[in-house]
Amino acid sequence: MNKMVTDIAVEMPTGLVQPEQENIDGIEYPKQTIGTPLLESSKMSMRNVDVFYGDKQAIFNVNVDIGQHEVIAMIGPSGCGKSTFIRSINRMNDTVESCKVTGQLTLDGEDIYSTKMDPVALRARVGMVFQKPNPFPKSIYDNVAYGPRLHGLASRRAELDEIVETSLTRAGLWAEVKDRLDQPGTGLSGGQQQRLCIARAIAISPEVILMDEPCSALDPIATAKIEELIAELSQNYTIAIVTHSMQQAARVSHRTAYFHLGRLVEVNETEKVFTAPEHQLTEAYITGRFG
Amino acid sequence: MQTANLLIVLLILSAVAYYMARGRSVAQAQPLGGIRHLHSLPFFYGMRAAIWCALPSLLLLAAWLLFDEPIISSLLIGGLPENLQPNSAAEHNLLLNSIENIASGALSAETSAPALVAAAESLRDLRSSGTNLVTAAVLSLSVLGMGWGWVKVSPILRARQQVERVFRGILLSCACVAIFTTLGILLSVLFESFRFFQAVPATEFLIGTEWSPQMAIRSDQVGSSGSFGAIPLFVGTLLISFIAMVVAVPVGLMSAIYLAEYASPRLRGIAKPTLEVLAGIPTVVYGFFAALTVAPFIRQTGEGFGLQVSSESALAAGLVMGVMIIPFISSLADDVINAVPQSLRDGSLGLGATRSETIKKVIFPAALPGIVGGVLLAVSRAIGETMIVVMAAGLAAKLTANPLDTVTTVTVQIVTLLVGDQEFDSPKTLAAFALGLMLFVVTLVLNFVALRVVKKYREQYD
Repeated sequence: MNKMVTDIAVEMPTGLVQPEQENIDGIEYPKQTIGTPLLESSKMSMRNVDVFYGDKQAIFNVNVDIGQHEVIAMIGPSGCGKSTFIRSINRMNDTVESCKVTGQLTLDGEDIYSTKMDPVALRARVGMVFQKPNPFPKSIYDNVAYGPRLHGLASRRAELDEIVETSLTRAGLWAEVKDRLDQPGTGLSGGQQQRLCIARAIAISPEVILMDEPCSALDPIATAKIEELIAELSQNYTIAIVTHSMQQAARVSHRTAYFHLGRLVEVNETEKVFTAPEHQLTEAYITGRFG
Repeated sequence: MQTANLLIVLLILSAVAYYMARGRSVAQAQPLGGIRHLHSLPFFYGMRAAIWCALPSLLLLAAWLLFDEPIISSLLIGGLPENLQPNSAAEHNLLLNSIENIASGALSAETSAPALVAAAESLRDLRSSGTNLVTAAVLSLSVLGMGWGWVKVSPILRARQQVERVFRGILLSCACVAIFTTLGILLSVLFESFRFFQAVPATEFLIGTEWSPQMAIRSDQVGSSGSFGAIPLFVGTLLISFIAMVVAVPVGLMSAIYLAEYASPRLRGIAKPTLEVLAGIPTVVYGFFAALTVAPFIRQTGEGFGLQVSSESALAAGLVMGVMIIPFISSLADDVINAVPQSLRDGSLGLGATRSETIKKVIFPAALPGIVGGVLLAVSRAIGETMIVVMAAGLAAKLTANPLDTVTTVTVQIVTLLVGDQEFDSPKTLAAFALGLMLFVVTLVLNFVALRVVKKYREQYD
């Protein structure tokens, strides 16, 4: 990879902005994330975030904001720390024994990693959809009702029915499953399972939804449905999506963040990232030179 | 030649066959440009020759060892004069025995009938000529096989396929050993039980409530008939197994949940092997622990409360049996819980569930079929467990559900019926087979159901 990057540096088109660079292991990184990582008003903000697995550092000094009702896509080559980063946002990394997160991460100004913050309550506010559809081995109804029951969101059966119906409707699954709510969620197709997982996540009305490569296990048609769904959900929710598909990032997101080997290289309006990337690493990635 | 010597010679011959055929295949490959022009590797050519050398002659030898006795004895009996021909099977065996004894010198030849002495003479002749004949046949067959294996070596010979087919056959026959042994045991138990049920009606055995298998020798004595109602034994077995499961299931499950979900890897690394050491303790040790420590303790404690406690209470045996089964359940449940995919845990935690909510509502239900399977396997172990109950439970067949009372179990009765010198045609000893059959059927059904449940569960996530 190092060699490739040197090639790129040679081919660099003139006229691109050349900010202050630092050279780490032969790769030129910008000293500060290029573009518009920070916003004036934000739903979540991350400052000086480092993540370690034991002695190994996976994320280096990331600074970024996520705006209210914004879809932000995180792209980058495999192993660049995208998943690690979003799993830090709702403290899913707590379950990994050796993982340590430092820096300041806030949700509506509240420190996510302070001792006062209960990770359980946090995860109810910051929901998550995983790479592989993971419906519980329960009925479709019970899958969606799982969260609301946990958090006591419905006192009567009718209320619960309503939550289940609206969540499934929003996830675009209601029409397909309304006659077989009592059947196991594991019996649905892959795409339906993933939409069920999205319905399950929105049933507890989270403020932010994190999606970790939600379409990587799905066929193109199911992917298209999920992408439509993301566009609709962005009216009510703040969404951070990790994806390997640049087309997907281009289609669904407002802003795009490019990670490279644990460093956040560039954050910009999605259109800008894909038409006029400011940093040569971003440019190399989106033109398919690595990844 | 003796069989053992013959086997050693065969081994040497097949080793020779291996090296000769292997060498020949390599030599044949040389002009073609190396062994990659052979159909199979040289090993397979050598192996094929070794198999041809050893297998047919081994089969011949085995056939001889199986059938030499019947052939020789029928020749002997056939050679006897008309007036000595046996009338019954018993007489036939007796006759053979005395011929055998004369031949070996245990019976004096002078006092025996001349026809028998002659028969003994011919027995010795037959034996030695038979052995010589078979040695010659086996050796020539193996040399022939060796030659065949050597001659057939050629670059196009499909030696690998042939050798692998033979090895597959050997694997298959090994698998069959276990199955046929089980079948054989089942059949023998079945036949003996059938004889028992000819003496004692099945209805009495299955629904009778009185068990006293001791039969008097003469029919005019007290208790001459014996009674074979097995219900008290089954109730006793179930009572002790129930107590054992009451101890083992909750403790085993909870320790499994702790180990699988909460324990740090370091603690788990220590605790799990420790728990499994418990499973390695011989049950006889548990047995005297139950009889000498637990039973007196329960008796004293119970009497402290003013209860009447038998010194061989079902409670003591059940408790210790439960402790014995804990590692079994815990280890099985731990495996099942670990097999629940991490993605389900993540999914639940990601919805804001706590760890314990995740365990109760997602992991436990997902693992339940496997846990049920494990518990059923444990039940069948408890029912079949013998040593602890022999030492700690009583012998009196009482029909009671009181855990402080003494009860006896099916396995204990089988042991007491068969310990010591017994005649094998009285209902008393045959009853052991009937009990064994019941035990066999019950545990078989339980294991079958349990394994089906476990298997069904496994399919869900694979």
